[in-house]
Amino acid sequence: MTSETLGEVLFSADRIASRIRELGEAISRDYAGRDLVLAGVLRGAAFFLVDLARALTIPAAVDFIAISSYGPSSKASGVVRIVKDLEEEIAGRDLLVVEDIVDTGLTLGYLLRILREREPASLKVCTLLDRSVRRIVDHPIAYRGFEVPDRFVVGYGLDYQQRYRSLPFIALLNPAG
Amino acid sequence: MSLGIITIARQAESQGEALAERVAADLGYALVDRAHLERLIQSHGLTGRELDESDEEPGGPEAHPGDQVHVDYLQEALLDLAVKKDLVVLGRGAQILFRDCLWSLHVRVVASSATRRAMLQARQHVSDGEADALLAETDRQRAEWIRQHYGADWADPIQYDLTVRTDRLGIEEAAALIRLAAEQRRIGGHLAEIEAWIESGRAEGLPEPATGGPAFVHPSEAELAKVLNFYRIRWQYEPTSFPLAWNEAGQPTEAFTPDFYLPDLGLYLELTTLKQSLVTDKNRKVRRFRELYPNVHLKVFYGRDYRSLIHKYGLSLPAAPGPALPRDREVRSS
Repeated sequence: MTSETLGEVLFSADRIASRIRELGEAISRDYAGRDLVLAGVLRGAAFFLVDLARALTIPAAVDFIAISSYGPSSKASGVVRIVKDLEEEIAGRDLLVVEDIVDTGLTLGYLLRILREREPASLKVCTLLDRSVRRIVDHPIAYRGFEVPDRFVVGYGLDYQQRYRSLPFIALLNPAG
Repeated sequence: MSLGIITIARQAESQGEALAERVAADLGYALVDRAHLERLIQSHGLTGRELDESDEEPGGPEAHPGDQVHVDYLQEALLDLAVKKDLVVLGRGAQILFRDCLWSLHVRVVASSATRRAMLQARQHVSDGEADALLAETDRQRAEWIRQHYGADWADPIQYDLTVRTDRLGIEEAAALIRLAAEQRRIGGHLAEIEAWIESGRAEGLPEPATGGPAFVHPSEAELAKVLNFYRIRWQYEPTSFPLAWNEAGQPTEAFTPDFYLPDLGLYLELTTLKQSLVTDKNRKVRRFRELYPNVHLKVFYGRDYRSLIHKYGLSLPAAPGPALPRDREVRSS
């Protein structure tokens, strides 16, 4: 039995930076003159949000939110909940949820439900990676960095057991064999 | 006379505690307040520290990493009590836990800022500004607790059947109004129904639980049901069979029954088995289904998609071939 290994690099640091510049330009254009709040979903989106915020040419508030996730130890009665809430009041403001990756859409669906109740002026989603092949619950994705295959990916914020987050690129992770 | 469950949420210093005591005493109900919960959890080997983490008044703004366990316990304890006796539950998000229970009444207690400030200053030597800040902070913490654990807005009036203002009504009149509302709603005498409601898993608006619910054909279907429950997505198991072929008499001779229906999303889900022969047959059925019912939204999880989904949540996969994929990240799950 060997441990997992890094595989093919899907997106280099340069390619990520280039795509984030494009996303920043689009968001700056779309939100010019508005009261934009970027809400990064911890922990994976932290890296992406920081670079995205620096790619904007318009002012924007930066905030973070985290919610619990399902796991094998989750109790039958357990339900998803906010682990860390936004500090910013978002009522009447333009909220852009910043994700590292969207796949099943279950987490995002919960987030959008609770954030919508706070009555932001607008609510949209920006994700660096989209693994739509796994989608159960569909949501409009306003800004998308890259589509990724149904493989496990790490780097640039995405981890495996808290490792690989700090890689400047995004690569496949080969399973342990 | 039995009157079911009355939940009371209150602004700080609005005399909600006194009102809850009065209503419980008038009606002979069990009052579930902090003292009651302390006795309860001590009998289960937990401590006041755990109660603090499960309370609406947490010790700090940061959520304790393990406090969902205690919130789960708190919920279970309240549900357990509800099938034994009539309750007046003070705080603890009970209005959300029991919001879909037909035999409950949800009350919010408010009072003017001046009255609340005076109530606080009668006990603490603080200035007007300090009192206002303390009141606002207490209410903020309660709202934050509800938001963290239930994703709900504590101040949203839609959560309550009745709001009483104690500085105008006083405890006597407010208690009388609550009694009257409970009688008008005819929530009394339904302990058996409340028990059935809890056992069906409808507490907190959840769908039927994975265990004790329908008999799943495949263990992974039960696992997926748990995932859907976790994300508060309502589901039905095999609710509809779609005919695919008919005989000359017009009787269906073949049908396709998707595993799940998610009513809020208008979506059917079908999980495949791992046997290729069965997958081939299912492919044929799915193709025919899409031809006959093009407007019915169906998502099919085939082989690899399905294994990825199961591994994403660290779930069991009976007889899964091939090397194990690493489990998806812990905090990020979508």
